Amino acid sequence: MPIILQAYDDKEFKVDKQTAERSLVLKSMIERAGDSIAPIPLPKLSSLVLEKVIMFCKHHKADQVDKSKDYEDILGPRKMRNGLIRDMDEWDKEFIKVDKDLLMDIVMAANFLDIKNLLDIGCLAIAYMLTGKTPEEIRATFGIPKDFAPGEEERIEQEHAWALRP
Amino acid sequence: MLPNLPSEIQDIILTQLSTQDLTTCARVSHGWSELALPYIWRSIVIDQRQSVFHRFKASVEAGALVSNGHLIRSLTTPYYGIVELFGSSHGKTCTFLVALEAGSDDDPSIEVSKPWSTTRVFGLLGGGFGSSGHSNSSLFGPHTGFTSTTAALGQQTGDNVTGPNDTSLSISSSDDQQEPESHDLILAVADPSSQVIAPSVPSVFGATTSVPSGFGVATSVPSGFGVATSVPSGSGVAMSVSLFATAGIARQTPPPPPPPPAMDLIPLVSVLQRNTQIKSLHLKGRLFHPGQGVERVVEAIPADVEQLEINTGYSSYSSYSRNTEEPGRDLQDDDGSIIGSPLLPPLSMEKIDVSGSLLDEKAFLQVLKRSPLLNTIHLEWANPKWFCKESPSAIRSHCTELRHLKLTYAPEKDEDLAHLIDSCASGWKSLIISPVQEHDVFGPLSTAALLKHCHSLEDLCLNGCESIASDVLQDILCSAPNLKRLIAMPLYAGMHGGLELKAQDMIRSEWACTGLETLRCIISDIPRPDIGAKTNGNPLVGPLHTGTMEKSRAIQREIYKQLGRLTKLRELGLGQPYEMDGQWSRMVEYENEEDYCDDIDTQLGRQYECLDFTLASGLDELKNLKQLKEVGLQGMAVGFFDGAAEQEWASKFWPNVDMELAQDWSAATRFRYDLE
Repeated sequence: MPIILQAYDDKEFKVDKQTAERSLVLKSMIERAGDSIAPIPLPKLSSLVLEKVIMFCKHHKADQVDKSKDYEDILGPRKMRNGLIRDMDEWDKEFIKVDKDLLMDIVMAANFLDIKNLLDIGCLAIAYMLTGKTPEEIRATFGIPKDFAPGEEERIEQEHAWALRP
Repeated sequence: MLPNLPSEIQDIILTQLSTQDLTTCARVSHGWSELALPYIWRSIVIDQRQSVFHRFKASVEAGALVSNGHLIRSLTTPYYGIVELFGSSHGKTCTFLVALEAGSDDDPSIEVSKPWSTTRVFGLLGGGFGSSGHSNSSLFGPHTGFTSTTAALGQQTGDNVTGPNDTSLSISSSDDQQEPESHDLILAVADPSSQVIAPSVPSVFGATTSVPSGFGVATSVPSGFGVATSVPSGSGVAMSVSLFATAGIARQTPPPPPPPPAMDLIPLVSVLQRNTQIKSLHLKGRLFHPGQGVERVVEAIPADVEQLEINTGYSSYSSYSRNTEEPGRDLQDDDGSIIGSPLLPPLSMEKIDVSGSLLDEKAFLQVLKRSPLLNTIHLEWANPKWFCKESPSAIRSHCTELRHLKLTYAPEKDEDLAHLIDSCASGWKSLIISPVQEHDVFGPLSTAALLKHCHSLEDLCLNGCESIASDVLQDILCSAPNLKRLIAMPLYAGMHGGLELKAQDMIRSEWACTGLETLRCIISDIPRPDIGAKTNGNPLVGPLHTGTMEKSRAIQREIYKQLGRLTKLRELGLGQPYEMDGQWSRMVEYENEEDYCDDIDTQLGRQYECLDFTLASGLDELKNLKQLKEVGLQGMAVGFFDGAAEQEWASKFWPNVDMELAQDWSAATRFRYDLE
C-alpha cells in the first residue's frame, strides 16, 4: 500500500512503505496508523526538497546495513574529518551536489524527518563548503555581513595563529 | 546560515572542521565566532611539533588564553612549558578542564646541550622489552606475552622518555627527531655500561633493514649492542629491523651525567587547584619522579579525578636495580605527617595506571591512602619491590574496593607477592600477573595466597608464570567457581616442563569453574603412541610414545569430558599461537643445523603429547560446547585436519568456529620448506 506525502504546496508524492520508512518519523507514524494511513502532510517541505528526499530514500531503501553507521564512523573521531566527501558513496556524492540553499533545506528536512544517513551526508557537504576557504569567501557565499569592529578579525587571527597549519 | 541551524546540526558540521578551518569560521562574523571558538579550544593538543608549541606560546602571550581559557576542556602536551603557561596568570580563566595530560619535556626551543642527552638512545622491541643490562646473551629480552605494550628502555635520562602507552615512539639521540616509517622491531643501543657503538653501525643508521625470514636469531651480539648479524634461513615470522640514530652519538665514554635539575611543580599545582573538575589526569616523565616534591602535586589532585595515569619513563635495568637496593627507603618509617594526612580529602579515583620505574613512591602511597574507591591498579614496569612491600598495608586499610590488579614485572620475592595478593581482604576479581622470566617468583607462599583467592576470581592471567605447577593450575580450576577466564601460557613457545596442565593432574578431580568462557593453556603429557617422530624427522622416545592406544584414548576421553562440561566456553586455546607477541624473540646460538632445527621445532610450540582431536580419541565429548567461537590448536599434533568425519562433526556442533584458524600449518609448511 503506497504512502502519500504532501508537500506544503499540496503536491502529493506516492511512495512505497519501505522508502518512507527510511525516515524514522514517518516510520513511527506508519506503525501507529496501521493499514488505514491517511496522506501525511509535510507543511515544512517544498515539493522540490521532498522530491529530493524521496529520491534519496528510494535509493537507500534496500540498504541491508544502515549506511548511517558508515558515516557515523567518518563523523566520529575528529581525526577523520579530512576524510569528508572522499569517503562518501559515489551515488551520495552526486546526489548531494546541489546549490547551498537546497542543501540547507535538505539538511533541515533530514533533521525534521529523522533520516540520519541523509543528515550526515548533508552536514559533510556543508562542512566541505567551509573547508579551505577564506573568511571573505564564506561571507560572500552565504551573504553574511562582516560585523566586526576594526582590528577585531585580525585579533582573532592572531590569537589562533597556533591553530593554523605550519 | 550556520548560526541559524539547530545546534545538533551545527555540532555535526563543526566537528568535521580542522582548527584551521574553524579559525576561518571564527573570523567570518560575531555569530560565527561564537559558534566556532569552543570547537577550536575545547581540546588543546600541543604535540611534538615544535612550530605548534611556539605559535601557541606566542598566541597565549598575546592574550588568547585569557580570552578563551574558559572554553578548554582538555589539555594534552608533553611540554612542561605549556603547563607553566596555564599555571601562570595567562591561565586564570582556564578552570573547566576535565582532562589533563602533561609531560615534563623541555621547551623545544631550548638547545639540547645537556651531557646526558647527547648519548641518549632508546631501545624499543616490538612488543617486548630489551635490555643488555641484565642479560648478556639476550638483547631481545623476554616478554610478558600478554600485553601489547611496547616498552621503551633507555638510559636514565628522566625527561623525554617515551612510555608504553604511546602508540608511536619517537626516538631521538639529538635534536633531530626521527621516526621510523614502519617497524616491527627497532633495535637500539641501550647499554649504560658501554657507550661505544660498534663501528659497523653508522653505515646502517637511518636505514631499514629487512630480515625476511628471521626467527629472532642473532648469532653474535657485541657487547652493548646487538644486530641480527646472521639469520639462518629458518622458518619464522617475517620481521623488519630498523636501526637508526642520528649524528652526535658519543663514540667514547662520556663523563657521568649530572642529575637533571629539579622541576618547579608549582605551575602544575596551580593548574590542578584551578581545575577542580578534572576527571582524568595523566602525568608523565619527571612530574612524578622522586626528589621533585611530588607530594605537593598529590595534595592538589582534584577530588573528582576518576582516573590517574602515571608514566614516569624508565631507568635502565641496572639503575633500576640500584634504586631498589638503596638502603633506608623504608617508607613506613617516615609515614605519618604527610602520608594519609586527615586534612586531605579523599579522592574519587577508581583506576590508577602506573608505568615506569622512576616513581615517587612515597607520593604514590599517599595517592593510594586517599583513594577509598580505588577499584583497579595497573602496574607496568614500575618497581614492583617497593610496591609489594609498602602498598599491601595501604591497600588493606585504605583501598577496600580494590578488585583488579595487573602486574607486569612481578616482584622478586615469593613473600612479597604473597603479601600483595593477601592485601585484598574481600577477594580479587582479576589478577593479571605477567612477569618476565627472571622474576617469576610464584613460590609456596604466593601460590597459597593465590589459591586462597580462587573463590572470588573471575579473570586470571598467569602468562609466563612458569613456576606455577600443573597441580596448582588444576587446584585453581577446581576451586574457582566464578572463573570466566584463565590464561596461562608459557612466555616462549615450547618451553616444555613449564607452565602447563599435565593430563594426570587434569583428570584427577572435577573442575569447579563451569562458567569458564576462555581457557588458554597447554595440556601436556598425554600418551601418544601413534606419533613416533617429530615433524623434522627426529624420533620421539619415552613412555608417552610407546604405550598402548587404549590407554591413550582412555586418558584423552577423560580430558575431553572435563572440557566438555565447560558449556559456556567461547575460546579454547590449547596450542601456542605461533606469532604471539615476543615469543620468537629468544636469542640462541646454534652449534649446528640439527640443533637449530630441533630448537625451531620447540620454538614453534610443537606439541606431540597433546589431544588428538579425532572422533576416535573422544572429540565427541566436546559437542556441548555450543558457545565456542575460537579454537586454537597451533603446533599441535592433531589428527583433526586429516579427518573428513571430524571436519563434518565440527561444522555440525561448532558452527561458529572457523577451524581453519585453529591450526597454523603455514608455519609447518614453511618449516618443511626450509628443510629442503
